[in-house]
Amino acid sequence: MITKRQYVITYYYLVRALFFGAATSYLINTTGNACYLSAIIGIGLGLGFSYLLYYINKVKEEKKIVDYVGRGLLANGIKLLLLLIGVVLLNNVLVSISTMAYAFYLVSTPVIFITLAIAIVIYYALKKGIKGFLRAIEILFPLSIIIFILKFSTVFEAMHLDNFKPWLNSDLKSILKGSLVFFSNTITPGILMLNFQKSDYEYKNNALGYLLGSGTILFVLILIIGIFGMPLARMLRYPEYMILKKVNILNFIENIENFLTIVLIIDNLVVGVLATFLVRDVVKSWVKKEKIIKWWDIIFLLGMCLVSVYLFNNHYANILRLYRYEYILMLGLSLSLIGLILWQIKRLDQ
Amino acid sequence: MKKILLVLMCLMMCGCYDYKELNQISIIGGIGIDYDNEYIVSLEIINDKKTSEGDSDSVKTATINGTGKTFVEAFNNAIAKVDRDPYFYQMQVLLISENAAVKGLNEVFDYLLRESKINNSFYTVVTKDTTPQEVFQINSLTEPVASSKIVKMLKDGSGDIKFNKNDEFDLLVGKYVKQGIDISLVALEMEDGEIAFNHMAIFNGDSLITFLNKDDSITYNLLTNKSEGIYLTSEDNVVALFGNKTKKEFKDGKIVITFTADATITEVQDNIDFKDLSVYSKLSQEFSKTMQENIENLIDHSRNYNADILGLGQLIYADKPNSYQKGIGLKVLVEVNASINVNKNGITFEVIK
Repeated sequence: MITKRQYVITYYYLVRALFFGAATSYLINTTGNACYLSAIIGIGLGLGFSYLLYYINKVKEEKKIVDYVGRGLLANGIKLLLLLIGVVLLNNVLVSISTMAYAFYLVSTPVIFITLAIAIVIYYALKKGIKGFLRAIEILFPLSIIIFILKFSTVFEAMHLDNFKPWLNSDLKSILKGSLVFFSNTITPGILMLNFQKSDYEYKNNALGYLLGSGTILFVLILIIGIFGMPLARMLRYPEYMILKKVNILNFIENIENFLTIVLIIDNLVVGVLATFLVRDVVKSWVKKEKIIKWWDIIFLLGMCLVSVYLFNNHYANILRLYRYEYILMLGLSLSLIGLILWQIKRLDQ
Repeated sequence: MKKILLVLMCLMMCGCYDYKELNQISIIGGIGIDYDNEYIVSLEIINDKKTSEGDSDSVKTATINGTGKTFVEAFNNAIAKVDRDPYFYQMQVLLISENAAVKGLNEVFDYLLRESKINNSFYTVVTKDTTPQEVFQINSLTEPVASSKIVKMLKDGSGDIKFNKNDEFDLLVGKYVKQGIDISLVALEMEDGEIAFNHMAIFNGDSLITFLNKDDSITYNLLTNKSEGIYLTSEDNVVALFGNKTKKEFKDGKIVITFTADATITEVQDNIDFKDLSVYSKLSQEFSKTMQENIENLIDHSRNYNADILGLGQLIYADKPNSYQKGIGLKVLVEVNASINVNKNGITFEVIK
């Protein structure tokens, strides 16, 4: 059961989440000064994709997607894709939060400790159940909006129009590639919305959640370019964090970037929790042994912690691969999944 | 299970894993870089210990130096001499000596921008005819920490030369990596044992070229900064400028610089009658002409030094990126329009004769 308001808020969080870390930086590097144009094209594509999600949710009615697709080869294919999307998203969450925390705050803390701490928060949310979790993020939503307004209004003054020039100095190929990067990173977490049971919302709720989330990303991109200029924005690994350093409220409150980062971490935790819920549901549909189901969350989270630390955090080359190719992987998985689900809907109709 | 989870959360999420108490860290107020056949890095350490009973407010600083063939080696050698964990998050200023600035700042910028333990919100200043070590050791009654004194003077002081709000280190690097603009930094001098700012250090690429004279430095500040109360002198008259605005644009193959400001009369010849309206337009014309000449002089001098500190090339790059060539900003025709509106005379109508 999810209310309309919770649906909009959850979608808002999901859309924003992957833009903490690799996505913002990669988009700026790919498209240069025209990144906001790529974002606008990406939003257009994303709204189309949101309609597909809305359609699937409408068709599956009260069921979760895992239950709706039923059994058979096609259903298993869909479940496998859902599992892979869950794994990729959770890995992204663990890697981006731990890398950022390790780089800026906890420089002498072993990364595995940071990752385990995130896993514990996710596990705690799982234990509280989806209802409690949705209520929690509903409460946190005003904080996210207030911090966004605070950030935008206080940092706005530091922007320079000259930093946007030369206008649209990118070729069409880069702009289109950038829009795919934006599209891929905003729509893939949205897949997690298929796992909710209630579907009494309308497309406008879906579109509102997507527009709110992607709109805030667009504003942040404009802030980054306007403040740092393109050459510096390209050099920075966490430009969205670096602009928080410029927040200065009436020359009285400054150096509050660490506090403001909480919003970016909450976005990621929402994805992490919902991805783990989705993976659990897929595994539940395959494995009937009670014992495995009981310990699955702990085993899965521990496994993902080890993967994110020993395969990614400790190997920069792999992080670089993630940075460059993750959007292609996510795009492939998301489009294949939606294609297969639509096919299954057609089959079930017949 | 809940209890285990609770214990784990207490242990792992309290943020105490690698915390450090205040008495375990050395707060670094500023970093100095000098070069004399090898790099000399100085760290200004703020000592927070009480010096004597009842003297809890007194803060003293200590300077620790390290040397090395490269900046990073010297920096690490300096850190190695600090007895506690150096804490750079409160760092306010980076002082670069003339020699080190001439040697080039690329390595310094690259390291400091990349290093996560250093906050990038500090300011950068070049020392002229003095070294960072000497500056860190000044004894000031009003502000015992030299780094704080420098920043306060340049941010809140009433001097003619001030920090631009975009002079923070990360934005300075942003300017340095841009096309068509050369960086300029405030120059610090010692005058009778006190800190003074009279010049701007100008760079070509990452190397110091020269220091602008005082008039050019003030003009540069007026063109790039929101300066309040800067004095402009023309013959025997002096006005204080405020509300200055500069517009630079590239059109019809030339760069047009338009400068406007309001002015308050500060000092005038004794035959001036403030009740006569024509006096204001006459003074406005006179100061507009002076300002125009000052801007033209600054452009000529920057051309002579081959340093595009006003970012004229950047305007061309922004308009026509494909036809941009390095140094083009120094060759292009520049038209200057300065307009000073003298419209305030203080609280008297007449000059004392």
